[in-house]
Amino acid sequence: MVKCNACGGTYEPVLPDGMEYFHKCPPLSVVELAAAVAAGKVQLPALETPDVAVTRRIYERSNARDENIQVDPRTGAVTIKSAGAGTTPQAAAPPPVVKVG
Amino acid sequence: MPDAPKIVAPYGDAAYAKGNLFSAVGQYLRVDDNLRVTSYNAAANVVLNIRHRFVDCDGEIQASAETQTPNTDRSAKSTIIVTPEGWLLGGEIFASGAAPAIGQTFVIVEVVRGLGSSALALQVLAAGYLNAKQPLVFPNAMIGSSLDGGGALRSIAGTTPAAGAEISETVPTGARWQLLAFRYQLVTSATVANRQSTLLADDGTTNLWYAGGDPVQPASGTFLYSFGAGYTPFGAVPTNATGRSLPTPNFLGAGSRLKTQTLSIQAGDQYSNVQYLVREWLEGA
Repeated sequence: MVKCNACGGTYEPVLPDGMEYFHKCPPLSVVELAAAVAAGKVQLPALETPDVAVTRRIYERSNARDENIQVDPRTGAVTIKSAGAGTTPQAAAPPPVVKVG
Repeated sequence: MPDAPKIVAPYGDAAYAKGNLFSAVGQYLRVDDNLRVTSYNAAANVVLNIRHRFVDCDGEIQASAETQTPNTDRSAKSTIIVTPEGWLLGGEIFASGAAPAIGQTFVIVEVVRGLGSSALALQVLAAGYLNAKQPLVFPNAMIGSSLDGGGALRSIAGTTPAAGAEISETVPTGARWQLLAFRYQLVTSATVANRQSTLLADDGTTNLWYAGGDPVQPASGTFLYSFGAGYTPFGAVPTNATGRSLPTPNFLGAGSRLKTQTLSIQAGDQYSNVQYLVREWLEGA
């Protein structure tokens, strides 16, 4: 389990079936957009409130993480799209099935 | 009477003579022709076993066994198998090390001229999915598309967002999904407000469709939201479980997102238990 330092989301990089999981930070929620507006990080159009703004456009984090891959067409090198603010390891989540006794 | 003009074969005289025998059963390859195996894969621990038989210009039947470990991020992995001049009789590629499902390991076999990344592709001999039970055969296989078949059924645990944040799940690069079901839980804080949670999809930029959005969840509540194709809407009062229908068929390309949008969401509201069921095909990165 890891925690994304940009969005605070937690996820397993490798799923129980062994397949890789590619995290991408969500757009800002109303709560997060309101906080960003209050902090002066973004300005909304006149007379527009955060709850309306998120229905009209998508607000992304400047330090967003996107683990989806991109392939360099010249070299074929594969890299993730954006490391963003990185991740922090977390304790493993409890397994979905627990055998008792 | 002059002799008939000599026919100049595209290969040596000895090979030409034997070619009369083998050309009916095999694919002729020049000395600088080779086989290229390209895989697109999403499953872990898959090893491709590439085996074929070949008749060289001396009439010897050779057998070859090579392996390739595909990438697990749906990007292409290519291996060139150097062949002598002669006739390819046939071969197969099968998986070991893991048991990929149809929809997880797609392989293309080609004749190429030359070596390395600059090799010139000349002919596709086979293309299709393989799994542990079903090898890909060449050269006389049907040429398949990576969008053929029923896809791989995957149940995926998504990201648990931070408090006050929305769910957002992205179709990975190189994949195509069909969404079959989606489930999540929302625990609301004590801040008084009526929340309304909607599931929606976008194409990476623009919202496409919305589902649900009508259940009203008050403060200090725990609701389980579930979505499925063909659901008759329901709401179970004792458990606060709700079910809503999804658009169908519901195909999503790489970069598309499945996300929530919550009316009156509060800073202490917490989404969790994100789980969804999809069919997946490979489009390749």
